[in-house]
Amino acid sequence: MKTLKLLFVASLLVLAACVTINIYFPAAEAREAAEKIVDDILGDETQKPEAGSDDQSMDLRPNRPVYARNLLDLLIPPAEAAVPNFDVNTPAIRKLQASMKQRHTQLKGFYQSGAIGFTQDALVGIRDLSAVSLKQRGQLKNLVKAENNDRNQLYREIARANGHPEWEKDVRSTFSKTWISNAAKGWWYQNSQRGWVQK
Amino acid sequence: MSFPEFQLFQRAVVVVAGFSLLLFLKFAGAIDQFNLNIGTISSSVWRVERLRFALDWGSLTDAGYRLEIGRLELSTLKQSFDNVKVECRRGELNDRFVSCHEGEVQLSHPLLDRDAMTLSFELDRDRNILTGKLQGISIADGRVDLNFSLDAGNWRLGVQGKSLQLETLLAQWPQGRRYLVDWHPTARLNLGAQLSGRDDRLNSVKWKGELTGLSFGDDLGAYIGEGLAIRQTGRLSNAKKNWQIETTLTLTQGELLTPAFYLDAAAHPIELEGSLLLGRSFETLALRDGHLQQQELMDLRFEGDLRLSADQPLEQLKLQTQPFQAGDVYRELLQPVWAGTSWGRFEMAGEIDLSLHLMGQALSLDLGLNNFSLDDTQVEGTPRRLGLYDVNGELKWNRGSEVRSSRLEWQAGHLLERVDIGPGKIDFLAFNDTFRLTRQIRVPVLDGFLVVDRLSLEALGMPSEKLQFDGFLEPISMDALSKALGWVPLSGKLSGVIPGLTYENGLFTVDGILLMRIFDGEVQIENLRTRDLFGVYPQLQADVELRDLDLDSLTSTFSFGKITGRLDGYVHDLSLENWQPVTFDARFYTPEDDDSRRRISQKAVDNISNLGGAGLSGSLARSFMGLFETFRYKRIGIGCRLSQGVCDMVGAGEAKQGYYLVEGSGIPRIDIIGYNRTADWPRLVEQLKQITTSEGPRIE
Repeated sequence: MKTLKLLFVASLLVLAACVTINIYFPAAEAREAAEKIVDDILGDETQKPEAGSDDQSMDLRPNRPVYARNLLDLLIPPAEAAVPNFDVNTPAIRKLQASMKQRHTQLKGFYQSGAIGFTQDALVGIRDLSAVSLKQRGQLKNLVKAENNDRNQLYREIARANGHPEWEKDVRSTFSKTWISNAAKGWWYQNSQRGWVQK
Repeated sequence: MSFPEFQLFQRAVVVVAGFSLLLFLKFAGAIDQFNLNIGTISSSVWRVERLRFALDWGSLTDAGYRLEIGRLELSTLKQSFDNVKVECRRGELNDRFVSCHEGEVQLSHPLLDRDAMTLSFELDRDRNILTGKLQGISIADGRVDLNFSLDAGNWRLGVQGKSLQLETLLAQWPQGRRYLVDWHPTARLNLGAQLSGRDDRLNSVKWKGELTGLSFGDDLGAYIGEGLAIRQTGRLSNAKKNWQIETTLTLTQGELLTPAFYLDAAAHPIELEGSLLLGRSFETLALRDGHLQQQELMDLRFEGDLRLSADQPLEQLKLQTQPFQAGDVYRELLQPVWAGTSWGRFEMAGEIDLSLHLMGQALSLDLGLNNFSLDDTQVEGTPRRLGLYDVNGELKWNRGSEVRSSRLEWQAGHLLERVDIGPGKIDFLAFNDTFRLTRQIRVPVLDGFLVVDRLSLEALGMPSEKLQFDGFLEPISMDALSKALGWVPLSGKLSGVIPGLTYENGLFTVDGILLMRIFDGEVQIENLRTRDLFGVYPQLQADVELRDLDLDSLTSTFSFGKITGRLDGYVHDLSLENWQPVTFDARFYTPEDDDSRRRISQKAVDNISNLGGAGLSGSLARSFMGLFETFRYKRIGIGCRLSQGVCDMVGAGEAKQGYYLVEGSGIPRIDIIGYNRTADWPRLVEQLKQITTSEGPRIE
């Protein structure tokens, strides 16, 4: 009897634990959304990622082990584990997107010259100031500051719009990979060791 | 060499020379050799360890002698001098002269590249004059030569430095002034200085310094200099009450970037001159006759007073420029710093002169504008916001002092892309972080006027920035407005009272009602709110009411196909982003009490049936109806509630299946019935565009 009770409590615990993981970060949807936004901002320069061909190709599996997910699938009916609709369609997001798209026309030359590149934390980083004349450095710094401000707001707003502010880190990580995989040839990005690599 | 260091040097020379003389007088002729050893002697600023003096007489007029010091410490230098040797191969020791015509000094110090340097000196005891030279001091990858003289208490020191490496010199800089070192400066320094004084008093210093290839940068990259060439001359004299310094500085090469401005010294060299009065106690510093000229850009004069020990050292400052070309100064000095921000994309022309006066806490700034023009730079993809041309007048701003009134007049301008502004003038007060209109202004806008009764701005430039505006529009023709905004030409007038327009937290809110008299009816705009109006992504919300529009003129304007009758309607909860509708709840319908002649043309029937997606169907019906030009109708109506790109459609009323878009009356009776309860908004807009731009009726 005692064993049965224990089993019952244990299974309840397992179920409870499963329920808390129920709303996992919808990585595939987030990536799709990020693709659309990044494509729109970078315009013609974007390079369509070839699946698996690039070390920066996306692996958006959740961080927990796969067997755990499979177990989850067994325990929880698919309908309950349904991925929420990933919403990136709010006025604030559209505004940030428009602002970044407009700024991109000014940033483009700096990406090409290697002065700046995409960082691992989904921002723009200054890589080589010597590629820029002193007269242009003020402009570059202002643009990078404004761009990073917009990008930080974008990731926060996307997480917030989906009702999960704690997703900001996942959103950022998704965008980090998307910026890099969509960067044009010759642009620079940071690899996982934060070293600069030319695409 | 600083003043205390010089004093030290002077004393050391006197000590060595005096000591030599004493020994000479005592032992001359009695012995051929003399040796002296001392363990340690010291003062508050120096310390000598293991001193050894050896004297070797060849003859009375030709003596050799050697001085060795194990360690010499000077409090002003971090590192001590070790193994100092002074060897005079050919000297003179007699009752009048102590001299060395051919001497060598050896000393090692991290600052010195080579240990050896040459020394010569002569002490004339009768006239009490000491003169000498220490030459070939290899220091900081360059060379320094010193010459000195001492004449009954009057002394003089000359320093010549050639091609010294600035970074090496600064590495020896005392702690506490590290900010100079933290900017990692590199440069070559040529220096010539003459110091003179009496006893321990410095009377005058003249110097001329030249830095070439000066580059530096702080860790944040806020202050950066590259390849600067600076020449500075100066003269310091010791007046009764203070030190007087006359100085000039020229900057002829290189670039400089600071958070406030950018300089291209090669294109626009700078000359700066002025005098400084430094109080004896180093408490006060007065700047006098300051004059800065930057070639082709700026000519300004200034003077000020500083209290050096205070938290806010600047007590008084007066600064006045000659009129300068605003466009050149903006483009060369300011735009490189502001580029990439909303302040960085203007074009300017005309002249500005500026004067600034600070007295304690009170600050006033006067700007005189002479045919000044300001406009957005045309940048692809960037909307234009504001332009003002031929502005004349004075802007007087104060902080903490008496408020003065300002006036500006302009000849023309524009708002957004093409809304033209005519000549106008504005009287206002500008003080602290506040701007306030003092007299009603009446600005021609297109063919009407914007009358402003109240305009005030508070907390300018701060997050809590707030604007308040009361005014009204004297009728602007819709024809001019629609052209200026790139719309389909409309007829009618726009007028309205705008009481209580406020701007706070990036949001414009209009409390009043804007009234448009168009198409012989009225359109009222209420609850108008806009965000980021002049930015990249303007957002607007409003409620719009339409009353008694004349369909005849409306449909002819949009070449929709003629309809006669009246039309009421509303667009509630309208939300536009980047001027595109995102949501609204709109309905347009025949007024209940409409007693006008209600007819609808074939073209309009066809267009409406296309819009409704149903209704008249089949070419038979059309060809039969084609016999009639117009049809009578009882009521028409269409409504759309837009959300997420989808329109929920309604009509004038419910039909058996679907809803009436047009409910006909009489014979032949024509009803247009819509069946689609939802419509794709972008497609609907596309259809509307096609309809309003297509030529002629399409009924076959």
